[in-house]
Amino acid sequence: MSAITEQKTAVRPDNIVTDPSLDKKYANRQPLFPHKIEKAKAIMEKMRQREAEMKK
Amino acid sequence: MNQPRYPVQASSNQLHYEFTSVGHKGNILKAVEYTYIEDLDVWNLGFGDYDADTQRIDDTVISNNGDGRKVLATVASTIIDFFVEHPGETVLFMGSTDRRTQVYNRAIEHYWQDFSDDFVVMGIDQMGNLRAFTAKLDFEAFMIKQK
Repeated sequence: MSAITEQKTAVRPDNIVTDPSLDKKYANRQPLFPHKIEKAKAIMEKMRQREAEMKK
Repeated sequence: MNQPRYPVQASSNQLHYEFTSVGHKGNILKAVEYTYIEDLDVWNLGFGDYDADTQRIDDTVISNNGDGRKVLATVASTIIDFFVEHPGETVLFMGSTDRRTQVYNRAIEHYWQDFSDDFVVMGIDQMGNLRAFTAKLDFEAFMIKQK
């Protein structure tokens, strides 16, 4: 038995199709949700601090 | 995944998605965006309503279009599609408000059967603890990876 576990391959949901017009629409655009990215960084930092505390 | 979902248009790189919510308040264009946060090596999932007047996406508005479950099922389908193109990555998401994060908490519980076979869902609580998802706890953010 192989020790390597193969990751499952996700299959495209049947309600989704590629629309190349979106490529142009979103090209070179700033992130739509910059405040979310800042919030994500704050949450992840809190998580890392918590992990560090738990290791002490 | 057998929940009703809207048809979705995706960009070629599978980082931007759009669909139209159809409800008693009319048609509302929704946008989903996956943004790579290099410092953290995770992808942030952002989602909101497109405002035609300002040409901006608002992720704080509560549409009340009467189709919340269908909208969340549609957003969930974009997560699956994201992993088709970006296997092995981690997606992080949270609500723009505590109320919306609670909605996500309930949504994950609702769609757990669809997700749990193929994905690992973790929650980050208010203290910063990373835990396996359970509907019994309230989380501040969620992380999803493929199994």
